[in-house]
Amino acid sequence: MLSTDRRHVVLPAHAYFARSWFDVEQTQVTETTWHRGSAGAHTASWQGMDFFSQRPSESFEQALGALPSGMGSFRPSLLAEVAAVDLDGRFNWKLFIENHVDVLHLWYLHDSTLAGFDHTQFRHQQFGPHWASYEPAVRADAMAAATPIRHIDDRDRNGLGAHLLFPDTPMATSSGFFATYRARPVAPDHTVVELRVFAEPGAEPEPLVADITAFIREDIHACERIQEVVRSRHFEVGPLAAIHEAPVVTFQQNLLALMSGAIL
Amino acid sequence: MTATNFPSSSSSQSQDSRGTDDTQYLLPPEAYYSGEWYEREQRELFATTWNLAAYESDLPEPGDYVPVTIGLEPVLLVRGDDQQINGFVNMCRHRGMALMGEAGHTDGNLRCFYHGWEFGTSGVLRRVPQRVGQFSSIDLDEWGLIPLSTAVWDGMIFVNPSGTAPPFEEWLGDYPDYRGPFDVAQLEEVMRLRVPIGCNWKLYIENHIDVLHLWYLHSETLGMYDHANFMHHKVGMHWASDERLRKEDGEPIARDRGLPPITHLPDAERDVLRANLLFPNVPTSSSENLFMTYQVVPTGPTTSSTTSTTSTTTTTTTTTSTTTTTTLPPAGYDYCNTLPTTYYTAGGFGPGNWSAQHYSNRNLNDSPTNATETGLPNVLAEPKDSTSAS
Repeated sequence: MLSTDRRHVVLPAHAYFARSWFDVEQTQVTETTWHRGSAGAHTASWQGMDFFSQRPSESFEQALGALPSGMGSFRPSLLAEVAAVDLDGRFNWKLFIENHVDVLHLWYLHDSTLAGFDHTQFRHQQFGPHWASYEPAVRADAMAAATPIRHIDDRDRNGLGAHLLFPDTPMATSSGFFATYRARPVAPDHTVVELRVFAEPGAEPEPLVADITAFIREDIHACERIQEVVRSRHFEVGPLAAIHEAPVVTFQQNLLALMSGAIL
Repeated sequence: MTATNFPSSSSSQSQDSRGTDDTQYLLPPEAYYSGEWYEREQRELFATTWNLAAYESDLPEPGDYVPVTIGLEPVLLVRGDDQQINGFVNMCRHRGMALMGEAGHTDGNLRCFYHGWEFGTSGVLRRVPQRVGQFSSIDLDEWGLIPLSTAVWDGMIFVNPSGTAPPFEEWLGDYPDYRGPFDVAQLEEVMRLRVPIGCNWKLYIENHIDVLHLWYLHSETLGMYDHANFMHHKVGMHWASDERLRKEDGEPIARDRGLPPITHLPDAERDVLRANLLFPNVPTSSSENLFMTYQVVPTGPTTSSTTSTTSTTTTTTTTTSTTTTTTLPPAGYDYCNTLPTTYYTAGGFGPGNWSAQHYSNRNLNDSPTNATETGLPNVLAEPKDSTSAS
């Protein structure tokens, strides 16, 4: 587990991402391996999180693009890391990302855990390969946090944000937390979801982790159930929702763009 | 990864000492431990042949459903309003989700928990939530559940997940003539037992159709039978056998199996023990007291799971049918542990009626299910030298 004042967002060293900023060590990085194992890596910091790439083809600012503008008023650098939890899932990491940017499933898979949000008001937007979204709470009191984040504005205090730092790091925000949950592939059909929760210093971590893992565990269950079928000779995906599943297609387009020439 | 060469028949022993062509072991050792063989059997054997999937009694009422996995294929069995049992690919046609996770019952539709698509028990797509605005051009008739070839025989439900299945009757062939005079519909399942075992599934099957071991491995448990007059028959790709109790003073020796005799059997069947195989992985056995199936499902290159069902006459009240899982290995499976060695080779088999293993080996190699749809060479018959130990 990393210290709370050095938050390294570590993305997988996947050969197909060789031109990306997000092409770094597959194992979690500590201060020691940062220097020993990543000699020559390009580094950058943003909002208290460290990023690095072995062979970047563009600056970090170019890679990040306009995503920060879609993430609202949150400034993670002002928060403390209050919890880090690894969740094990028997699925390919891409299923987890595709699930994250799938708006349609909110009504059904999360019909209980996210029922407090008005999915009909869900808004989402691509920022290059990244993705950001927001939906308001049905009732303002549904967002009451024991230790609300002080620096965020009313919009963010009364809604839920879900974002993707392409390719593999979903984020979620609410009145009480800013969370990242990177999908770290450990095998073709095995992924570790690395949840890290940031909140006001002194915030109780247990209820925050319980709230977040409630819907993440539902996502993991869904991904595992698709993984059960994906090797069938009959497996195929049918028609997708015109709007609510469009980000799934965009994610795949961006992934294939990076992997072109490698396997396609 | 270790490269292993399968010793050829001329490597160290003469043809005479190894036996004739009909008594030589055909499969290489890696067939019993390599991940490659395991994967290919999943795709090319179990996905393309008829498989025992469940029992009629598992779905007694319309609306009952049971998900099962055959090889790599997710299968959903559903009893429809017309009482017919239908098999489908257990996959929502929207995002490929495994539709139903466990056995259950519905009075309405089968609903996918991911995005709410609903299918009737006949497989038809009945409802797509948010159709207006999100799926405006969808034709519901095009996106029903994918049907699979399904057949019911003797209380057993068989599924061929290939999509190009030969008729079930053709696969079954003359096997019913060799089952014995059992009316399975009159029997009641009184026990279902699942046993994980530490060997490749084919070892279990080859043991089942090995007559020679009856004298030795089962000298105590089956010593009351007259193995010298054991009769067995090739029935297409299946196998059937029978033997009778030994006689003492002109009468079959007594035995007590703790169950009452099956009432509808003729007297001539009272002292008969039958052991059959529905190819590739469903051994059965029967006697005057019981009728058993024990399906062997591979769970890995060197692991399997047997599920045995025991049925007997409906007058018995010995126990309620439940599924029990035990970790106790059946006797005799130490043999399995000797296989993953570089030096393993099988010697000659007994002649004549002791060559059933050879028969099973040859069925695997000759099976039409082994003819790959991709046109790849038949590697089950011509295994590669390189192997990967699991």
